[in-house]
Amino acid sequence: MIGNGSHTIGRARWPDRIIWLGLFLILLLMIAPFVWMFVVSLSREVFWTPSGKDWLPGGWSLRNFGDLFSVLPFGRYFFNSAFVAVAVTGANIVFCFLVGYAFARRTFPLKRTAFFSVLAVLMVPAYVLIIPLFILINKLGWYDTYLALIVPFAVNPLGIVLVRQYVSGFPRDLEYAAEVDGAGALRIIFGIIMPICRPVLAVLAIQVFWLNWNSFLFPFIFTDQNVRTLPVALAMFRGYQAVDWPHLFAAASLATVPVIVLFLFFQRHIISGLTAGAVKG
Amino acid sequence: MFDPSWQRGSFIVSLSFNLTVSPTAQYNEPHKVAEIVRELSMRFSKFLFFVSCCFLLAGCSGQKSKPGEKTVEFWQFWTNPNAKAVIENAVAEYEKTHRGVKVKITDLTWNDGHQKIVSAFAAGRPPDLLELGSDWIAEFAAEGVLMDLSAEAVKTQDRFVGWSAAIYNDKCYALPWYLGTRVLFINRKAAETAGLNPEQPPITWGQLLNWTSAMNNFRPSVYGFGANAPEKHRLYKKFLPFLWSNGGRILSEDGNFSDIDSDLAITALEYYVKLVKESFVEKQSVLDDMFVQGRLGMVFSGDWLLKKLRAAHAPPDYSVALVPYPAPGRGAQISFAGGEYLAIPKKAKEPVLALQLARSLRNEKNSTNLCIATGGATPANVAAAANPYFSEDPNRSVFIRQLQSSRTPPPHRKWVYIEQIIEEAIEKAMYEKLTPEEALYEAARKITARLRED
Amino acid sequence: MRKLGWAQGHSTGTFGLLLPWLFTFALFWLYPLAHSAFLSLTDYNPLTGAFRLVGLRHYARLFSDPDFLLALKNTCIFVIGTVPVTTAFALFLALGVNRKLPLRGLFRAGYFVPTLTATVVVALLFVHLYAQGGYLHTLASMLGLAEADRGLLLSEKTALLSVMVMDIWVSAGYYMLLFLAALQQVPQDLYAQAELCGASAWQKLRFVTLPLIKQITLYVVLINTIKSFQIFTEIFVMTQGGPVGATSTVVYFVYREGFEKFRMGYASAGAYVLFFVILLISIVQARFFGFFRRADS
Repeated sequence: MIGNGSHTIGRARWPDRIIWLGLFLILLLMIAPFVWMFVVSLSREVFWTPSGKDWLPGGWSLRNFGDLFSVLPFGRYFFNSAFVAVAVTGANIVFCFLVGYAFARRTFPLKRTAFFSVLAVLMVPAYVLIIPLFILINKLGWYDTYLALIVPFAVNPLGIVLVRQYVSGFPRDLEYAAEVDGAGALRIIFGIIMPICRPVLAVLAIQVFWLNWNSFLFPFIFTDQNVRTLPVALAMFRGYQAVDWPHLFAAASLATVPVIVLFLFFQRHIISGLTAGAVKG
Repeated sequence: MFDPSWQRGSFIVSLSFNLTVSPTAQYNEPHKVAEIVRELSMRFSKFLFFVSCCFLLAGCSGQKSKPGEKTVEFWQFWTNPNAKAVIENAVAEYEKTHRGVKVKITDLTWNDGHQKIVSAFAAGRPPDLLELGSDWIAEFAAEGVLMDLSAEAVKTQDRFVGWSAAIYNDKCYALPWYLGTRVLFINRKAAETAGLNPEQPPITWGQLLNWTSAMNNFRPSVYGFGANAPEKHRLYKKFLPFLWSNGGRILSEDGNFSDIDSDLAITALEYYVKLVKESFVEKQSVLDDMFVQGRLGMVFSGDWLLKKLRAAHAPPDYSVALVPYPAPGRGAQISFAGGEYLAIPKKAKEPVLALQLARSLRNEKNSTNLCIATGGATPANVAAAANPYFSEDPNRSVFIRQLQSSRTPPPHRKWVYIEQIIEEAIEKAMYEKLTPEEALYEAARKITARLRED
Repeated sequence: MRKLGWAQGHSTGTFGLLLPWLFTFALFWLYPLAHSAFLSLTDYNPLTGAFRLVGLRHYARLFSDPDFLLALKNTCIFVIGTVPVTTAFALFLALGVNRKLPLRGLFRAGYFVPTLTATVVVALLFVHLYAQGGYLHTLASMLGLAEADRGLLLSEKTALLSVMVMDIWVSAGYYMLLFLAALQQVPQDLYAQAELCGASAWQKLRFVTLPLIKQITLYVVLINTIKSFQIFTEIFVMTQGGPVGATSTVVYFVYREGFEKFRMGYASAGAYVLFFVILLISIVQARFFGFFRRADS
């Protein structure tokens, strides 16, 4: 029996209906601001309530989106965001896997301390380090380069925790068997264990990509114009002279689209991962 | 340094609770899921890569200079497409007359431009030609990173106005280019509806307040006056006209301490606070929007608003007027003047070429075109200002008249800090955290302390 | 014959495997952490290059600096205001979505959308909605919650509250998913048993559901707290510290002092104080959470 929640079919519908209505209203509340954002991005002038008769002064226009590319190097920002996000995701998949595997399967001195270091980085707020990191990045000469946005974030501690947990769940027979067959260490790691870790690596990839795409503080501190990413560009938008709300929201809409697309693509898998545990006897 | 929203990563952790419950039994299931996910993610990355390549190509305007070519690096703040077009035209012309020279334009924004410029100087890698805001010149001149352009200034003295902001220690460090001042915009229809005569705009503070109250009767569809909410680099520009018109000043004669707590200044701030109490308070861009939509009776703004009004869908019938006198026969009509100046860093690699580029950017044709493109009304170039484009339009001629009695903030290398302190004081007085007297007294103290600090 | 025992954890190549983490940890975390501590004891100005050891003077000054104290106060208000509400709201949504109601998938996805978008985007959106003349402001002033002449973000009384409401709106969907995962792990037999005993819906909730999700609840509270203490982006984009500092937070204070006033030593001291506060609270909460876990098994 696949049951979710405490109702079985056939019970009184009344409370259900009210609850459903409530949920629906809340859904509208959640979505409404974004709908509004898209509406404004397609209009010529934004209007402030109450303005009476004319609720879309100037009419519709796709001009805002086109303007974006002439006013700002928007294509460049988009590319920067994409490039950095993909690079960080790729790096994380590889490195978190390696390190997580090491924690799961290898023994070495100070292992507990090392794992504690992973947890510590998770707990300590990153903001504490912006100033020394800024100085470090400058010293390394990485200011306003892709390196500054990729290297410090190439190994996310959460990925390590995750991979470790996942790999620990597997028996070591796999590796024993492979070794008996004569496989070398590299082949074992990449050829056998990594494919098995695909689910967790996939989830890790999605998470890291999304986090990175939306990240603001560090790209803000570490970059200037060359390597600027979308969120920073949006925040700076208001400093430009020609800005008005329709253009700003057009830019924001464009920045949001990839994440929504990503979510729509992978939603079922993300959610099914969540609910998989429920499908059991 | 890992994104603080690591709590989102806990999402993964919770997922792992489900995924790791019995791994051996899940050999097959996760594989299927993983297959699909991996394929999709590969496809998605390819899609994303393709899309971003398209965007990159679309937005790409790379210029690589060939060997043997000289490059002049020019940093500027005109990112508005029409204005940028004028700049690019001017640059193209310049490149035509200077074979073998390429100009590389870098765009800055007002939000972080100051920081960028500071960093560039600190790193010893400044551009060849730099656009500076008028209130930043003293700061960089004091640090000795700007080239002394007094010779050029003396040569072209009569052809340009607005030199005062560029003079530091009796030497000229920048060339005025594009100036701006603030005037009073009036919505004629709103005035008439309130029984006021737009042909006789308010010329004293008292009248300004009366007009505001009269038009306030039509709230919330129309507000009498739009006042600025605390906003960096903007708020102080709206208060200084009142301060100066009343005879107050920020620094003492010798520049060693602050004079902003004089009685004249306190009176000015008291009036300003009273005005703000009756006003619609919001940030500049919102104020501009509201005026364009006819919902503000009056607002202080600059020539960018002219452009916005021109481009608007249904602009109100408006006129502009000079900043009011404090009282009949007392004080003056002094407004805030600022502007863009061109400076050449001492460490510029191509100073001679940079100077020539500056001359070209500031010539009559380009100055006029820049103003036309931005809706600006006050070029620094005198010949340009005499162009009928400016004098024939009643609004623009008011701007030019106002510019003649406008003042720039005292050129001081610590101006950025002084400005912060002034804005804090105005904010505190606006929000009634301190009385105007207390606020200005505190500001004077802080400014003097900052001046002494090194 | 290969040496067996490799699979038993023999350490060949282990160092290589761990290298990425060791490198990242040492260079981008440990070193800056130490450097930050050191900086907080100096008077460093990156522009002038001035550098002078001043000992614990910064820390002393911090606690008599009204700006810092205000930032600390605002941050605490923010945390106390948002964490319980977000947790409760997320739980409520999760319970709702957990039922077999039509369009569940739509609800689940829809509630998640705000969290999905970049903070900057949401912040800009709300600046617009909260401005005088924006929809939310009009709504609020009709309800008497806002001053008619001041945008929500420009009035001292409502600025911080508005940012908090926005934060709750954004985060709820995310925590909802976490709760949902936990709720779906609750074995159905327990519900069946409870029904047999004649339990009402409310009793089922209280005695079956809630105890079993205590763990995840505490977890949610912990991470929400840590995140809330560090709020910066929203403040930077929306209010820049707010009308007379009403929305200044500690991280924003650190940013202002370090990157606008260039007093990096002082800013580092402020950052360290925040670090200790969060560490303390995390430990307290984690112990509570861990303590509970021990008692459970």
